[in-house]
Amino acid sequence: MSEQVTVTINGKEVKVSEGTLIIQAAKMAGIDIPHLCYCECLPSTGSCRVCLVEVEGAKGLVASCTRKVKNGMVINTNTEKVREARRFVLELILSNHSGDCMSCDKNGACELQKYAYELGIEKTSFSMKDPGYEIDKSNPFIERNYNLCILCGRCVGICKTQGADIIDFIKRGMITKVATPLDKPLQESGCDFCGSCLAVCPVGALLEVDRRFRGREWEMEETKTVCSYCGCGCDLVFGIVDGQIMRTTGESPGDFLCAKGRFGWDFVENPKRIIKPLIKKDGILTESTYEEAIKFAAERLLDIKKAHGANSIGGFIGAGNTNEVAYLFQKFLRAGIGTNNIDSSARLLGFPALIDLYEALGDGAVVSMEDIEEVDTLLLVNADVTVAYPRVGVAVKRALSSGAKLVVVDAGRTKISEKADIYIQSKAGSDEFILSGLLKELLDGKVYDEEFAKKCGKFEDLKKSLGKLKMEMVEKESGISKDVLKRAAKLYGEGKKTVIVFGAETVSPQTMELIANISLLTGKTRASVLPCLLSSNLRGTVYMGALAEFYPGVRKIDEARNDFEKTWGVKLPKKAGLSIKEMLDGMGSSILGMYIVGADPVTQFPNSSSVAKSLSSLDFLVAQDTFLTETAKLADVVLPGITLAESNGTIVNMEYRTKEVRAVIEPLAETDWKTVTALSKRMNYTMGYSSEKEIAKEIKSLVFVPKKIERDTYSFILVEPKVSGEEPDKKYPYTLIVGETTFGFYDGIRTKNSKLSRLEPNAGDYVIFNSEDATSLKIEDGCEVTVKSRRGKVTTSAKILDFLPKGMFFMPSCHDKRGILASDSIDSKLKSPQHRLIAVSISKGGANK
Amino acid sequence: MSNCVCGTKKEETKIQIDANRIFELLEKHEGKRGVLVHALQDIQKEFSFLPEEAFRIIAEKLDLPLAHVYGVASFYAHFYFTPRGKNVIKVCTGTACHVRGSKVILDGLEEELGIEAGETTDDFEFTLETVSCVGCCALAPVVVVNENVSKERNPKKIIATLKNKGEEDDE
Repeated sequence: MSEQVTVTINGKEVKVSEGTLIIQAAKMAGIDIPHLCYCECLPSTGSCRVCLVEVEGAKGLVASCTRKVKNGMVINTNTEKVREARRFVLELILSNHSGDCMSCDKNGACELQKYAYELGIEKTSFSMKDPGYEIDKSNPFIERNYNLCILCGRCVGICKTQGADIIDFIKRGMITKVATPLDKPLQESGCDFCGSCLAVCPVGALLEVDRRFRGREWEMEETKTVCSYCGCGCDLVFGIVDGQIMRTTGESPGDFLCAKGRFGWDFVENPKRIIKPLIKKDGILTESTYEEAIKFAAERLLDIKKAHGANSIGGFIGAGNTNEVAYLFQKFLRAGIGTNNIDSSARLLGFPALIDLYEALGDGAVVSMEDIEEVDTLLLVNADVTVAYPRVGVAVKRALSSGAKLVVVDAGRTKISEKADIYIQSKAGSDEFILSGLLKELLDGKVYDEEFAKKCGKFEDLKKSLGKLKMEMVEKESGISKDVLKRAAKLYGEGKKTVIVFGAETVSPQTMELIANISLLTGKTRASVLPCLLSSNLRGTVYMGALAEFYPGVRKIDEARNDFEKTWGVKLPKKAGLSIKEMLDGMGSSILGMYIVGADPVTQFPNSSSVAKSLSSLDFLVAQDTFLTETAKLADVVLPGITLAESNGTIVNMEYRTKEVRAVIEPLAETDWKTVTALSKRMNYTMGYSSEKEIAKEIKSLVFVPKKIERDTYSFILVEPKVSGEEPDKKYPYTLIVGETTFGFYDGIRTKNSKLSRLEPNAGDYVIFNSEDATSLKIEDGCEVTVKSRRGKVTTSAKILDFLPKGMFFMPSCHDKRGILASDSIDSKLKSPQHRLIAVSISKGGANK
Repeated sequence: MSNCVCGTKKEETKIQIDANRIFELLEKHEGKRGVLVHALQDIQKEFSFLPEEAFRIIAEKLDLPLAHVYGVASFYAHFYFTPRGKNVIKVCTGTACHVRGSKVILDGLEEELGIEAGETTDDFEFTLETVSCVGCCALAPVVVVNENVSKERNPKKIIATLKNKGEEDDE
């Protein structure tokens, strides 16, 4: 704790800790010192000189944003001398600010305007200079008008700390300007479009394109909710004017949002949204009334239940719905229909991390993003954090800037691997060998916590099995020399506060177990891993029991049935439920009716041609979604769904934080929870909720709210490393990696219906080649290519980028047809497919040639 | 068929930049701090200007953000971003030279070369610039030809001398 000092500001005595800036001390005393370049979230630059104050005994006026307080300091922030100086400075700034407040969207929220008004400046007494810059409107999100720029440097500062670091001051004197290298447009300069610069700009130089001329700040009604994209679950504040979304921003200017969070919400208001229910009549989906659709769906499902039993019906739900909807969904299927055939996208998006990791380490091992910022050593496994889970990326960057060490294991060269101390560019699918190698090196190098490890079960067995592991085999399978692994093990093992960050949807169950082993071996079981989750409510969906194996609270079905029978007041099914793959396999014979909510298995699930075939063979399919997805097109009844921005309820993010979701606009269609209850009522099971709050109350009474509890006993898991994903062979000699991109997201449904797709090259329809493979296959950038796997083939265009090693190719996860290629084979324990590594062959030209 | 030759002409005169040479020039600066301006100077000395490719390579080799490299380079008037001619002619427009008629010399050179001050001829033989003072006002008006102060005031002669010299060098 630093020492407390007493200072007098405008006659008021305040106690602050030593080293506090005058401007901060004044704020604590309730005094706002005008400032333009200073921003709490950034290091001070002291460039605007607006925050000048009088300090007794000091020579001249001092900038309060750079001067620290000293004991006994007497400061005056609003004397005539100070005001005079401020007026002079502001007049100078105004002489170079050639804009018109009449047409500026920042009017009323502009800091320059505010201070000029407060100091009574009608007009600058200097001659005005119009820089005459052209307004940059070339990208879909950020309008840049440097005629209004006051060169405060906040955007430059924030781009360095949490953006892509692509802007700086260029030139000098009167023609100084903030620009990208060679003053190129943002979209050609590697900008991530996080929009952090927008949030800190004090004037109207940087504005959201969508907001222009649609409403002033004081007209905006602000609602805080949660982002609907990845599992980071960042807080978003929506600004609404006349029931329409004007912009989204963070709670405070320094809060990081990514491109998807800040600009990717426009899918909510996309005219292609399904607003009215559709019923298939003579093979054509036709608009109907809500009542009619619910009645029809309920009757048909009841018919199937009557004729073939409850277990001939199944349900599948996406992992982006609220807890309330997920809870109701499984309650409807279990208590209303009477089946455990329930599954969710959680099965496809990191199920090992959600279930296995919990079994191995408990939930106490999962760190928060704030924790990451404080660690000294990080191990990243298959986690392209800045792209797929950007908020985690910022946390990692912050840790690195305070000196943390970084080891990256990833096949792809990413923005974060560029910053690594040791970058292990693994061969796709060789993670298990690399992590086993790391474990062995931790043991051999004696950089592990022996005392703790001895207390864990199977330690001797682990030692024995690692003793047998041949490093030559690890080297051969991974292409990484054992010296590199030795160095990495030493670096990680010697870390005092470490964390393993990994992309949950990319790891195999065995990789997951190895990660748990590393955590145990280094004695770090508390806050030591972060599985990065791709969907906003993966944890919640699992906790709400939207899975065949578990009731709400992750309770096994046979153990918890009695409890739930009591609470829900009905007999519950005894038969074990089927996972989605098992349901798909049984469609047309044992499974005849399906209810799918907020998910598009045809696009999301691997081997999609066979998924579409299975769904078509059903007697009856009800799809509830926001857009007419490939799955919805096959449905007999399509019920409109709503987005997270229209929902009330809660989600649980990747850090186990329960976050409140609030509707920011009036829902465009009936809310999902009401549709589920309406359907249930029509099927003779009345749930009787009057609001989301009541559902939440019921959940709270039943579901164990994660409190991050540590285990009493731990045990190592013995793992025999093998190649994960599909192994290439002679016919399919290459590995295709499916992964996330900056402007695409998962199945692409949301990003494709948003302006984000304009920034994704070719709207996600491409496959990345490295230049070596491109040369040997005689393929040029933009060339048409056919990618073929054991399941099918896809024609797309080639993009050449040296990102993966030779023999490996990358396809964005938002590519429409990636599902055609992937394998749907599942493991016996978790029943989740490993569908992100695919063995393929590649040829030039279209599929017909 | 179109007779437009602008595209082809540009192709012909495009300066080829040898990226390997940039790597060579940066070798001695790699891994050091505070060497950015030296690195930029070395590259400009070699190519007469700072080619686009150079920024990316410098940023990578000196481990600096690209935006910072460009920001620093654009700060100094001494750094050029477009190719310069083999011969650089600077006409002094300082007070003394101005009074003694430097404008006439500049106009003459502009007419003779067919370019304006600040530009380079298409064949990259000549770059014409103005300078504010070179510190030898007693000789005014002066012209600086390839770093040598010259008292020659006849634009035609200035150019002819340089052309002749070029031919001699070629032989």
